Amino acid sequence: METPVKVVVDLSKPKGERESIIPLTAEEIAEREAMAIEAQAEQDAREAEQQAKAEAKASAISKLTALGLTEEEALALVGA
Amino acid sequence: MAYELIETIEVGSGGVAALEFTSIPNDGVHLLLLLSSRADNGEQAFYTTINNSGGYVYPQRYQGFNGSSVQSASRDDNGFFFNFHNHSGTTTNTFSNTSLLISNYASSSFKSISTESSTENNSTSSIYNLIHSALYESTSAVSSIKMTQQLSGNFVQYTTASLYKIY
Repeated sequence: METPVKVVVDLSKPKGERESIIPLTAEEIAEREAMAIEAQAEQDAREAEQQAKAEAKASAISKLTALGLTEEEALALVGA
Repeated sequence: MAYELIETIEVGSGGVAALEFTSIPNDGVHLLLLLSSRADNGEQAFYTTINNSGGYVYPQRYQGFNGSSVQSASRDDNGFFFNFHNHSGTTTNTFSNTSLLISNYASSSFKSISTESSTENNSTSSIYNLIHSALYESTSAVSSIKMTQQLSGNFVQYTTASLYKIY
């Protein structure tokens, strides 16, 4: 597998001499993998939180309708 | 207020995994980065790191539309903040727009970051319009900015990144 590269513009150099394309370091490759893992974990946590909220809302609607409210009234109460 | 173009990167044939500006001059007030980008893999995220400093957590808040619903969330990522852009699953030859503003980038205060990004896709999915805020909790001036495509992908050819300083 080819080593991924990055384009680096060093602004301390004169125009026309600034740009170079160099391989990512092993550290940068490891960082990229770690960032992806962390981002996925964040995404999973957010989705779990949204799922829990949706389930709690559905449960509340079910309990309210069991008490005699119409579904419309229950939806209005839980803000759905 | 005046804008001065510092430099533009245009990605060549074969693409690159990351785009990096280093030795950013500290004689401006704000920094503005305009990015037109697309990834060659199916991952919609790219990560931005400032000063190559992995030790900082970036608190982030964002609101957006994903093609079917409005989303609002917060997250804290260690060493980077994220944005979404076009990827291989979006309409061929389309690129995302992203603007990234870092205010008072040379000051000794923490740096506020705000971004706006929109993806292009002829579909009701994989569309993201995001307004995103983040904080770089460092007192050092911003001297480098690096954007890295998620996982093993590259920014494709014709991706461009223009860095401006604002007086």
